[in-house]
Amino acid sequence: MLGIAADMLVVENLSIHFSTRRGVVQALDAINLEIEPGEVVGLVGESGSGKSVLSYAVSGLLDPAAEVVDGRILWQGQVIAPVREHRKVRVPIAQIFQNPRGSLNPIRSVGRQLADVAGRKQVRALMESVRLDPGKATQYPFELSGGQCQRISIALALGCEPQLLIADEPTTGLDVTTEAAVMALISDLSARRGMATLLVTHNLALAAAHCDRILVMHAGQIVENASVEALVRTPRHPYAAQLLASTPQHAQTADDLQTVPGHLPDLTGSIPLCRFSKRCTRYTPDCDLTTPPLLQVAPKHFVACRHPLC
Amino acid sequence: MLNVSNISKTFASRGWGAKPTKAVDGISFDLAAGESLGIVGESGSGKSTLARMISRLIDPTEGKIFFDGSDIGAISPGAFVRRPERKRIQYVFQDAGDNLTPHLTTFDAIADPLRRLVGLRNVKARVEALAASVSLGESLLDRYPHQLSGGQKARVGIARALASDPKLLILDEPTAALDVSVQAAVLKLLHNLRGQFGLSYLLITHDVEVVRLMCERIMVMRHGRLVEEGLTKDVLAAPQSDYGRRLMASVPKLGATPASARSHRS
Repeated sequence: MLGIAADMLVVENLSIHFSTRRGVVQALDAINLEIEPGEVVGLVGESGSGKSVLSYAVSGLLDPAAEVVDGRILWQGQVIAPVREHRKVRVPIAQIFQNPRGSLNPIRSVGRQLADVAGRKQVRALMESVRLDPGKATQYPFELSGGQCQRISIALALGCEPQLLIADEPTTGLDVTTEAAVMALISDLSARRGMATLLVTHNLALAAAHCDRILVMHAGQIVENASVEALVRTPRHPYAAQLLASTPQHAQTADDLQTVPGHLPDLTGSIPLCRFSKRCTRYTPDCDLTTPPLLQVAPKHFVACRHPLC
Repeated sequence: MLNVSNISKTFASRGWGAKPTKAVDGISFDLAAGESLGIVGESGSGKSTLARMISRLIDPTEGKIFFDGSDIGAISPGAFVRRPERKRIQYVFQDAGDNLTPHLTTFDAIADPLRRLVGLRNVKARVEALAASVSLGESLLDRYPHQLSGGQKARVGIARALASDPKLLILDEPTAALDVSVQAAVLKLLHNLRGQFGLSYLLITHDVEVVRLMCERIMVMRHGRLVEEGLTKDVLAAPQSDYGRRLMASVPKLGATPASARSHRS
């Protein structure tokens, strides 16, 4: 599954550490992933699981404090640096952020911001492509609603003609009807432009509704990689199964709601080889002997666990 | 227990020629003791304004609010602080992190309503009991809000609200800022507390799935008006209004066909 030149984006064995006063935080550990053109991939996990660090590494926005311990990122076979200061080549990757209003310039009209990115002639077309009235181009971010601001940031991202859009929690803080509209827009643009999307979210139901494939992250590792159907119907990693059972959609009544016991391990210092072992109901002593093997349990369905569910 | 009749709130807008905003427009409903009512609607539909009027943080422009037979709508927010009803209606705010005083420890945050509202001197035992009822460990009592996780801050907010032995909790997006698994834990806690203390809930959210799990009845609001109301299971199964149907259709469902697989990609 590694190093096929045809893949658009390949992340190989990427490990990233941050040095802090409290010690070295092992934020990402041996991450492998590929994204093909036009694919919508969900990256799901709880706060602190390393989703955003991984998305920043791919888009080249990582702070220089990040230390790349191992591995590399390839864009169409070419190595690209994860850290902002070291990324010399421009690649068609664009990112949209969690807080749409905060990521726009508050003192420039949205039309001008679009013109900065794509040129004045493109402003109208870009606004129409995200289904906004081009008459709003003269307005400032504070005059627009959260959903409209998020459309503007999507339009800004599209202005660079990206082949990969990284959407980091794009609908947090938007209500469900706006969320549905923004996600439908992203899916539609992915399909029409052949643009791939990496959707970073903690909302498994949202990822299931909009993605082709889901990567489940836990404590800096990808523990399961499967198609949406496989993951929702037959999750194999205990963490993925528990995450699924904690979504309100999964429960019939409030008593059915499951929670993932415990919390993420401290990523400084020594971490158990299986980073989920302290929270796992299927833990046995042999889990501590080696790193969890990456098993292929079905075509295109990988799980990093010694005792996967079946 | 709670009876709201034909309540409205108009906000004056600033600036020349600006029209006043009618945030809540003629809403009436009843809430029985022990009952749980969910209010859903998009941002700006007036859900929070309605909740703020009921908790007497702001004055209604028109209409009446009765709580246990007394007309609390007529009491000004300033005078309401000293009323006995003030203890019985408690508000749990949206982002617990922003609504905890940063220089108070967990212990003092929970002790604060006990001292002010209940007038207790010796609060230690009561604070510990409240912390235990929301599953906050004793080691967390001397921590400050910035040393707590999101779920722990939400629990502190709930413990504070429970301190004065309320009958009605107004929950304004209690889990919006939380992870899915933490949300599950907090929802479960709220569900159990309701049975344990015989509480009534007024739950404000835009997540219909949360209402399905937590509330017997649901009200759908849009542009300040009531669009639809009824038993949660009926409204979710067969929404009658256009907006209700659109809202139910926007809720992401597990196992739904991904959008890109439905559309033109081979």
